[in-house]
Amino acid sequence: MASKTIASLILSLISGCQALNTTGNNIHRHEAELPVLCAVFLTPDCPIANAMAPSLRRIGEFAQASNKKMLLIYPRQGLTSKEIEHHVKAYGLVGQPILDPEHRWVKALNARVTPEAFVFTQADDGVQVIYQGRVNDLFRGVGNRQEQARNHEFRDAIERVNSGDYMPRSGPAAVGCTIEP
Amino acid sequence: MYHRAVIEPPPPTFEDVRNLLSQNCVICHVEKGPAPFELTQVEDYRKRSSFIGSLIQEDRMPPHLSQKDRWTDLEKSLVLQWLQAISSNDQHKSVPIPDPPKFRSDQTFVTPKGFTIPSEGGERWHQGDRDIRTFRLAPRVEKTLRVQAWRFESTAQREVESVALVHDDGTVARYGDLQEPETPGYEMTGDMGLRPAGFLGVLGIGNPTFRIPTGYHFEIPESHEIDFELRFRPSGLARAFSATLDAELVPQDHLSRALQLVPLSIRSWRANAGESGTIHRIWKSPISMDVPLLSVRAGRRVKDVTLKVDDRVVFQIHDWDPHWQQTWETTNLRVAKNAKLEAIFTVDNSDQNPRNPETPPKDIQFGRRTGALGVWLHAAACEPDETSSLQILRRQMFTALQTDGVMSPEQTTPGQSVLPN
Repeated sequence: MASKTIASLILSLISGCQALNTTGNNIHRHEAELPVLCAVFLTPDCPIANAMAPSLRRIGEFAQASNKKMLLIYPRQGLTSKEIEHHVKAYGLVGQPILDPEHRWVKALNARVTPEAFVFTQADDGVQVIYQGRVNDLFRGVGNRQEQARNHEFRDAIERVNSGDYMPRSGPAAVGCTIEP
Repeated sequence: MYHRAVIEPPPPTFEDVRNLLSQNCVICHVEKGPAPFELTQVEDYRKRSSFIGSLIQEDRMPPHLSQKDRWTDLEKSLVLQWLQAISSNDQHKSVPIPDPPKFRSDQTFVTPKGFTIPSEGGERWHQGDRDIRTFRLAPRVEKTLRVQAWRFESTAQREVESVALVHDDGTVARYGDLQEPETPGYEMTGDMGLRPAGFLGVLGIGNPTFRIPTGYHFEIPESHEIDFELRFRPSGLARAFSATLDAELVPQDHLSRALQLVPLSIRSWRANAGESGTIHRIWKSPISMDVPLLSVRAGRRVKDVTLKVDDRVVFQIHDWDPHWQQTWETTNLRVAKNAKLEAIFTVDNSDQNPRNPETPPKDIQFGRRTGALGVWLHAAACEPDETSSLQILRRQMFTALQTDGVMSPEQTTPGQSVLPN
């Protein structure tokens, strides 16, 4: 369980980061302060993240239908909002794109690679990180791709929250492209 | 008073690694290349230095499977050191893009249009572990062709993993096409009877232009067509697929020997959950032959592939990765008459094999008429009067293969010389 300090940091990050809606305008803080947040770290040219885009689109739709905010966090320095919007549109991703060039999200969540998935929820005493790990097992390792994913841990974590299970569980480590310092 | 100083060599400069990057990275990581991002500027390396470094350390990149083509420890160390301390003075420098291989297109073949590589893989009826599709190319060959080199280009460079070429009189592929009349190609393997996909070579990501060593050629009989088994990896985006295959032919007045396929195949094999070990195919060659090229067929449970001739290792791939299939050139491999050939497949159906798609592992069994596993020698007889013997040999070896039982790890099957004396 994350401490209150981290909880407030995460919430401040939401308003502190350059967050964009699909039209490129800054989002309002209250939009991001939903009880449950889902997040995935992405880079537009990571082949592992892109190969999972169809799954991520479905998870984004599922999260949206479940009234959960999905954050698409792009941690690379130098990326422009235009590049991100193009990526989101091309791959049909569903969620709120966020630029994180200073790695505030990366450091707060200890994200390592793209794609890496997170689910948080607010609790009375702060924010619980319910899930951190891989999106699914399409890749068992870098260079070790399966034809299709068989286990869908990210979606399972959202489903658990939907059913009222907020118990934190760490998933299998995410496989992907290293988030560069 | 003297101080003992440790003299450390200066870190490598861009000049030290430029050729390695050019020949091994840029060759694919270039605009419209098969790799997912460009590595043509030093800045491209700097902003991915940790990721690239980890791939090099794990031997994932450069993705040359053959041991002799892999970077040496010294080369790896050089590039890794450079990545860790890329000089700010170098950030705007370019890595030279290698010249494309020389190629003369004498004839062009095209795929039918209308197939789209899906954005992601899916369940298939045969439960194979490849995303595959087989296409018939047009036009049909009017007169016998002697192919010296292939060049493959497609609209889906990043989705194509390999194409395994074969020729056929149209009978087998036409049957396949009839199964899916609405879309070009069909979702089955590209074997044409006892001519396996790859009979005319396998073009992979690293070798879309493939030159057969001088003095040898692939032969396509008159009135046959070229077919290929496409292996693709969905990239997250649906991609319309069409392709051209160019052939450079051996000049009419040049002497050249046609390559035949000598299959060291395992028709069917099985392994219990958790089982690992080796499966061997041992065979004694009834004639002497030159083997300038080799192809391999193996799946995810195969860890290593080895070919021995008279107990000497002549070809070996550790940590077999089915994504990087291609036909490899040997180093002037000549097999003497009566030489013992041994193909060894190290299989691992345990949870120690990270490529095993089943977690926990399950009992498995695979079979294919032309071999579920195989080391294929693209060979030419040393003696001119034995050229036709090789053709007969292939048919006889594949025919004999059909009576093989299902093999399991640690099983060795001595092959027979099936040519009449």
